[in-house]
Amino acid sequence: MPQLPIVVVADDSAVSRSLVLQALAGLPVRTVEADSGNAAIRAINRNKPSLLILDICMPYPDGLTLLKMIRQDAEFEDLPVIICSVENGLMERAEAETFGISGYLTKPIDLKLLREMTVLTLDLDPGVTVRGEGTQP
Amino acid sequence: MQEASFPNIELVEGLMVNAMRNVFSTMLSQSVDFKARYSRDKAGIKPFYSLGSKDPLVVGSIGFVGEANGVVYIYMHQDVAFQIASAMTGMAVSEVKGEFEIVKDVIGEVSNMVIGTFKNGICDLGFNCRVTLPTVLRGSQMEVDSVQSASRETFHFEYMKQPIVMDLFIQQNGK
Repeated sequence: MPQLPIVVVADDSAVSRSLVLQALAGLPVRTVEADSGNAAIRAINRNKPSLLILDICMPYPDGLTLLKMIRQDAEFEDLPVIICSVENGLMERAEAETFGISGYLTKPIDLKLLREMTVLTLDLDPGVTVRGEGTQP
Repeated sequence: MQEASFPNIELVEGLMVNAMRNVFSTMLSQSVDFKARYSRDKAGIKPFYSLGSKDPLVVGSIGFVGEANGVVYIYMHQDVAFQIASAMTGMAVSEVKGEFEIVKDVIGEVSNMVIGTFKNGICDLGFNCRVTLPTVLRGSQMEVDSVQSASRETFHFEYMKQPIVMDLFIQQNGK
């Protein structure tokens, strides 16, 4: 059985993470949750994900700092990142886009749009769904 | 040089009402009705606990800093917080009653989204600012007083026939 692509969901709010997991439910991916910037770094190093869904306002390092760190790391410089944040200021958006992102969604997020963005970013077959793919902290 | 002017209160009210409606319809698939706004210098502002029962209150609080500075407190009775947590998580109200960690997280995130959406509207008007860390308070008969140089506007909403009150403290006109 082929290995499923891993998606790291980094957000300090458990409710927000569960909404993201709800958006990805049934997609052929494995999700890993992180509740801080450093937890996200550990999850990225350990799991070598195919996609990072990232909040900006998080305990250290915040999302934009983490994005910058990822882009400076040769191993993860091409890791696709979708930002899901309450921040929608021009400065935050411009900064994120400078570092390269696959999408920017403002909270409250449109779960359907996040799902579509994930399918497109990971080049998944939208017709293929799986059951029971777990998530881990 | 022209004096900087902050958006008038009707515009601020529109942003606040839209933010509440947007978050409640998107995240909870439920509606919230705007009832009234009161300014600090007008009669009508009363401590939230005098609006209804003496049940414990849950209050989400979050600030915004930058070219506009302020803080918002979102007051609701504990039962309303349970209803919101239930609607957002899909858990039964009876289940969330025993899980205040979940209730706290939901109210913190809903506050974050509402004030974040409001703040983004302020940013779009040219006043760049960022939200601060959300906090959640729980207690009875609490009241927040205004601080120096901040004006206060109180927005009254109704959700499932229960009040939700938003207390906005904001610095404006270069104060």
